[in-house]
Amino acid sequence: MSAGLRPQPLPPETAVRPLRVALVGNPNCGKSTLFNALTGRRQRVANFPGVTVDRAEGEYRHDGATVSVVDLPGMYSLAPESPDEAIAVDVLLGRLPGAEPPDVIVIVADAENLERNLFLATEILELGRPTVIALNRVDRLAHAGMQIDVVELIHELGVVVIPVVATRGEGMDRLRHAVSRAATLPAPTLDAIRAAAGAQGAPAGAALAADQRYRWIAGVMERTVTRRPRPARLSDRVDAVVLHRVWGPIIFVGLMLVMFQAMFSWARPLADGIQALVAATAAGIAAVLPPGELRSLLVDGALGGVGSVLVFLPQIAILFLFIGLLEDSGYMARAAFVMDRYMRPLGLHGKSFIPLISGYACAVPAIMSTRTIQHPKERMATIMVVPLMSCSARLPVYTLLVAAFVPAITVGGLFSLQGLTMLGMYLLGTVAALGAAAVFRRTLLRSETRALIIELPPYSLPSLRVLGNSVWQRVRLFLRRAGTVIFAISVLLWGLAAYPRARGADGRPVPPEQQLSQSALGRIGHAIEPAVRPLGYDWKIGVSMVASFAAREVFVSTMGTIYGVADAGDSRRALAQRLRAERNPVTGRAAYTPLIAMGLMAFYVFALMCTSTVTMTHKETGGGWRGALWAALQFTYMLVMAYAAAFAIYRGGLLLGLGGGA
Amino acid sequence: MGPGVQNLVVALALAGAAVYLGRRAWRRVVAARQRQSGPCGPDCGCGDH
Repeated sequence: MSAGLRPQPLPPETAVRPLRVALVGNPNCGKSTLFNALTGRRQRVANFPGVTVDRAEGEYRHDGATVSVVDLPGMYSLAPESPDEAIAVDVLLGRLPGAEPPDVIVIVADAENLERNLFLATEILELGRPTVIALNRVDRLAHAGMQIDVVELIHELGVVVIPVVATRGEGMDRLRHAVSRAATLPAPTLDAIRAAAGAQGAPAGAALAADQRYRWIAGVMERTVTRRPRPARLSDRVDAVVLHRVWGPIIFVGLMLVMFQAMFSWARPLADGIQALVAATAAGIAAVLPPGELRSLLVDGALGGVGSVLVFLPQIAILFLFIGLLEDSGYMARAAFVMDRYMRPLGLHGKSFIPLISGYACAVPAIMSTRTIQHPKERMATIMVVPLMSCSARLPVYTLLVAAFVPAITVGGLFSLQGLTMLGMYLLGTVAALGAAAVFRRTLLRSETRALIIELPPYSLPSLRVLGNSVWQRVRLFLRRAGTVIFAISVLLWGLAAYPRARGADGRPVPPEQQLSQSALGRIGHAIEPAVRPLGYDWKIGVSMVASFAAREVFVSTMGTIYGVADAGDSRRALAQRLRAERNPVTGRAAYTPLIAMGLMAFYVFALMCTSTVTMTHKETGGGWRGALWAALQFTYMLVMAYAAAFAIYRGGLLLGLGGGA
Repeated sequence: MGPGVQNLVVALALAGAAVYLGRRAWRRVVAARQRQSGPCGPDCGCGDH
């Protein structure tokens, strides 16, 4: 280091505002885990590159002062190649409007991959800003047969290096202390690097050539790292199977099959328990309140709506548990590698696979995660098809219809027909997404598809804390939606279904079914009916479909409220049973049949009923008029596909002589 | 609880639900116009908040 380590006073402005610290490093080196360990926040973490695609901010207190921390997307160098890397570089260099560069830069370096991580580190050291290196995952060095001489590394780099294990929070106190101290120390310089690389003559501030940088890093590695030969790792042996041309895809499909089976079979007892709890609550309310408007609102409206959605909580939790397992184990990046072979002919880049799989959870972060895709047209095609992947909001709709109309029988002695039907819906969405991508890539978004280069992270046992946190976050969000938006919509829909009160010729209240039909909701439904009748739907489904443009789960809560009113508080039967038992009052035939249910599920597979996704597409495709056009195109093509699929299934089924309902 | 009180509570609940949903929709519109970093927020459904 060219200057002494004598602390200097803080710059005057940092005495009155929090110290600003930026966490930077290569993708998947543990920045977000370190961010969480430092700040106590719950930023999303997973074991594959490209999890963080936007900056996240948090803070902690140290020695009575507040330190503000920004977690940045991963990058391999200061020359950004994708939108997420550009965000990181802009923040680091203070290029964002209204944002100054950070006071201290913490370079998070993966100890196991130090050589590659040092490339970015040297570029950042060249900036001449106060810097600390957090050498992460030092606990894995022994297993990897490596030893790092940290003191020598500090000497070589001229910067403070703190060994840490972010997953366990080890080294955090030392790191916090080093960060506060770095702000008062002279910034490190690259004189040593320049001298060693023979670049003394280079003008000040000029970047070193990549080969000079690598040459210098190789020397540092030789002097600071010792390796002992080790036998082939278990990870390599597992990869030989998981990445195999034949076994790889089979393993992937098998894992998906297990996931959907689990969602149906494991969740059943828990869902039954919640159903019983809802029924008991309704009975309790009925016992306390006399018959009247308020009792009907609480039992038929609020509980009928919210209760029918809450039943699906266990399935949502299981879905996110599986996605978390795939992400944290290190399998996700491998699945992208395996599937690249099949996606390339369709014009999709292998990196599109992770956003597509993330779409099973929610399209909004999945669209954001396309920022890791470098080529604009490949990225745009991925954005346009991500919402076709069945997100968790569709799950309650599928589950309700599958439970109501698909027999609970076993196929081949192993798989339940209901689980296979669920898998079929997810596959239908996936195949449609790939097909739509192929069309986009051959028409509006035509360009050459580039080869996939992706870092395969080491396998790791998923952390129970991280997994539990991930599942809890999703469960909490689901409960919050149920307790706020879905509750409010259920109350409002109850009002529309209950008023105006219809009276018979004798002035007495009409039966519940007739009241529903003559209510405001019934009248709206009858107005909508001509548009949905060609698909085999009655006005109740039509109203529920329109309401579900607010959120897809609202389809289920609306049906729950409608049947709550229609059945006048019969909360003992689950909604699926009520749908099965529904009869056309005129013909006496079943109002809903498996054919109608299949068409309806297909509609929900394809339709884009999510305002957040439309807004996110608008923003990520450039915003303004350009973004609006792409968002409108996405909404329209998906709606046309949805209507066409539901129409084809229903009309095709009728032609084949399958039951068409009332 | 008499029918009059029940009706009053129901009217308040319906008004409250309508105001809540209207306010939420309006806030979303305003936020979508103003925010630089997209719609990802507490109600976006992504679960990251």
